[in-house]
Amino acid sequence: MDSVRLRSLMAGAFAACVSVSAFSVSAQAADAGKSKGFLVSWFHVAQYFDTQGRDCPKGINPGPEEYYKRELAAIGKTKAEIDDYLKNFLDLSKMSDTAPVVQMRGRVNGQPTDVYAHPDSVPDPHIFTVEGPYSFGFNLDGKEDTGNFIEPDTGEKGIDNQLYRVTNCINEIRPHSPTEYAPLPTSYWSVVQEVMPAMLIEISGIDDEQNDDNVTVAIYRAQERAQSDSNGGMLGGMSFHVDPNPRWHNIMRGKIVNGVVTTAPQNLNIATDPFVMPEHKFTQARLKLNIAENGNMKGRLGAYHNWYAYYWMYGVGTWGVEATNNIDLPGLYYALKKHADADPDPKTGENTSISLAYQIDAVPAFIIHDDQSTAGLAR
Amino acid sequence: MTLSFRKSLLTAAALAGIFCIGAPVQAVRAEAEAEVVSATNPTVLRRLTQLQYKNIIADIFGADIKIGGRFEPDMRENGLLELGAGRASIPAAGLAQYANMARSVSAQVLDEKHRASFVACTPANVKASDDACARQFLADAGQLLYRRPLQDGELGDLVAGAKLSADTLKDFYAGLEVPLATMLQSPEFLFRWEVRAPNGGNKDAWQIDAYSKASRLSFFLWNSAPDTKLLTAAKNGDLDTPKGVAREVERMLGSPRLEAGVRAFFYDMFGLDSLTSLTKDTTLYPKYSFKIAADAEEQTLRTIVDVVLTQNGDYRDIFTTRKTFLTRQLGTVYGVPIVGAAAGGTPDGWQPYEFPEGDSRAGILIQPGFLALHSHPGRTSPTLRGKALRESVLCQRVPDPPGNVNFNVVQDTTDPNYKTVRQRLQAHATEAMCTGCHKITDPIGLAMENYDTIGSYRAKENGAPIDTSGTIDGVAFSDAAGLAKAIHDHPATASCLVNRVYSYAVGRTPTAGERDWLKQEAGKAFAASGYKIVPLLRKITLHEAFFRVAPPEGVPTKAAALSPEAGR
Repeated sequence: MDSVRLRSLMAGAFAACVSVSAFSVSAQAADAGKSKGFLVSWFHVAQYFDTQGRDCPKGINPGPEEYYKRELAAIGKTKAEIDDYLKNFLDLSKMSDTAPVVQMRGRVNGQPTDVYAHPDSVPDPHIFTVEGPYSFGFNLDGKEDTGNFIEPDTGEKGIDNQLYRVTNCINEIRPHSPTEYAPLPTSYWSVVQEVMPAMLIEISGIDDEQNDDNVTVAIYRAQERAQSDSNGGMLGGMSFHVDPNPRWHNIMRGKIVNGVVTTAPQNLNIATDPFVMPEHKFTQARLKLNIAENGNMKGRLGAYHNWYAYYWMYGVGTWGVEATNNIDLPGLYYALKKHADADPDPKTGENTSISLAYQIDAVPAFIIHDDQSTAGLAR
Repeated sequence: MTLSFRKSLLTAAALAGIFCIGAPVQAVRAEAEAEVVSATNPTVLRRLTQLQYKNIIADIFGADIKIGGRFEPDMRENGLLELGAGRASIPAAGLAQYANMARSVSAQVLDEKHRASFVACTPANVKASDDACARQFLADAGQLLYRRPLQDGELGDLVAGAKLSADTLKDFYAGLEVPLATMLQSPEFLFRWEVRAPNGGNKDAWQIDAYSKASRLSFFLWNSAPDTKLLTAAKNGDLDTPKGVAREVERMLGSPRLEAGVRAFFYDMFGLDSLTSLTKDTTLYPKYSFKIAADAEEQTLRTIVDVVLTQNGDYRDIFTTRKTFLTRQLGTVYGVPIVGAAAGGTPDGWQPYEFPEGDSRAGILIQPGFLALHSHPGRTSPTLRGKALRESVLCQRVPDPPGNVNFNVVQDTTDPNYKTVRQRLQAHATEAMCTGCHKITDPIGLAMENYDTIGSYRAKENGAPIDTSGTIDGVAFSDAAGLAKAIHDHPATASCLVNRVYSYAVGRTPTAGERDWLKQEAGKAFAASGYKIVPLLRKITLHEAFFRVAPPEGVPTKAAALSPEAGR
């Protein structure tokens, strides 16, 4: 028996194919119940597009040409100097000459300070945040608080998604139409896909695809990167080997009700690109997944996450992110801190985590396990 | 003036005839097409195929020498590129491409990284010419590139060119680049010259000369130029004796380089060159890419090599074997997992794969290298698939459709009255002028309808179940695997291969006398061997007609077994 065994197959037709021995590699059929494997083709914040424009009644946050005026004036620059700075700063070819001025605009004890490393070294600019009633997501705490949203598709109340509240009035993070994802998340996800191993989801132990009270849902990191098809989408049907590092094995208990797969809350570790965020550490995470007739899957993840990590996901880009993506970084910092809604610090009482929802799109894939790495897996 | 520009000028000067080592390509082609009146003139010139060019450079200078540029497209004639090579020329624009490649190869061979491997001598002064060292290098390289020893005049001109360049550029190795590039764009290199010679004074039995024999053997069995041993055998006269030829043939059949020769033959026979430019409607088939096409070509060749060489099996088994090789990309077309161990953590390599007993995925005809190649960009074509099978596998000629055929019914895949292509073809075939040909192509093509235009499995078309049953020449089958078995057992399958191999070997279609020999002797011996490829190659290379050519015009002959077209 070869050390490689198959645990996840795309569909019944595929199961028939792989349950035989290849002539140099032995494979065995999946464990009891059917398994389905998926390659995640989109994994980033789920941003609701309010077609009636109720989300940001105060407007969209302005770009750098506005907030840099404020910031530079705050550190004593004259109007002529500010105009000169802005003229040069927004010319990308001269950005590096003027960037130190905005980078060191923080003040601690009167001394210039790196505002990105110390975002509280400037006053809170109070960026606009979402005030509308709707958001994708989950009722993570089981309560229907006044600050919660309503799920636009189901009408469910008590939706916890404060990350959406903080970010969706920022032009580059909000979607520009109901059918497309927001520009900056799209860019970040593209980076992750191009440079990092693929993200896999496996649903196994399926006895009944419509109603099954006991399935296993796993999120893995692959050893290989995903590849694009000829239309720029993710190439479905590829085979991926699971990274044997157990750190990237997230195994969840789940169920299927009327064809919808849900999982019970638990913590998840998902590796991404160090440029974006080295590792997502979701707490009380849960999934809701729908498998379409064509075999593709769409769904969402709801969870809490350390809010400072989200500040730094953008803050690491410093003035480049500020200038090109319309993100007032100290403003983002203060908003995240203000709207964080979970895991209070025992000493300060301040919340350290923020609720969020992620959109998941996936295409069918083969997921191949190594025996050793899957030993002891509860089935 | 930069060094590279000066080298370019020197090379251009060489091309213009300052180093007069051969006639320009166009003139050579004109000469070949003119009346051949001299017994020492070539019987035919064959332009190197892309694969041959690449193999030669890799064999002589190493696989790490990069070849960039656009080759002149190979020509197919009577089902084979090898036959078309005898009619291929190089137009002026193409010559510029070969010149660019020549300069690039020459520069790499003589750069600091590689020169020590190829220039055995050390120049007295690297900043000046050294005739003795240049002569040694150019003689060695020239013999391998021209597939014969250089004549004194040729070598003298090249050495003089090296001297002029080296002294001008003040660089011995840069000086060598010019004559090497000159050779690499010479018709003596780019075309295979086969020179006729009397066979022991027998005016009825003309052959190609010894060095031409070496090339014919080498390009046939290795798809590359002769090695030093083979050239030595030519020089020593060994190739003018049956015993000497047999010794060299055995050596070549036992060489790992035989695989390159076998791959080249089947690449040619099954028209896999067309995969390079094969396009699909990626809106409908986003999985398809040029990577898939390249993998499909390689998959078919690996499958064939596994059967006929690695397993030393029955040639006909290439149509029924359940064993093949897949990449992760091909796995997406097949819808199967590629479970092989990751090489370095990234399993992008080839994995052996065996389909289960009873699976309709059997043999090379049910691979994307055939299914996708003989389909339209957005839909399958049982007619194209059937025609290709008849022509390339069974050597049967299927006429082209007349020009005034109405294809509307066949092309409309959305007509609810004709959900499957079988129904559409039946409607189309009600036109009398179409019926005859479709009868011989469509039943076998319809057997492959479970596989879409890129070769992925489908059970239904437009929601309607697909009927894959049919007959071929009186043999019934129910699906693609049944068709594959019928092809395996079809008498034309083996005889077609024998004829194709012979045509490929001698670069022309067999004469009437040769066809009789192929049927009565080679074909029977092939069957007796268990349809194994290596004995067939041996049989053909050792046949007395393998090196035979027609006498020069004006020389009277008895013309016994050889028709006038032989050797042209």
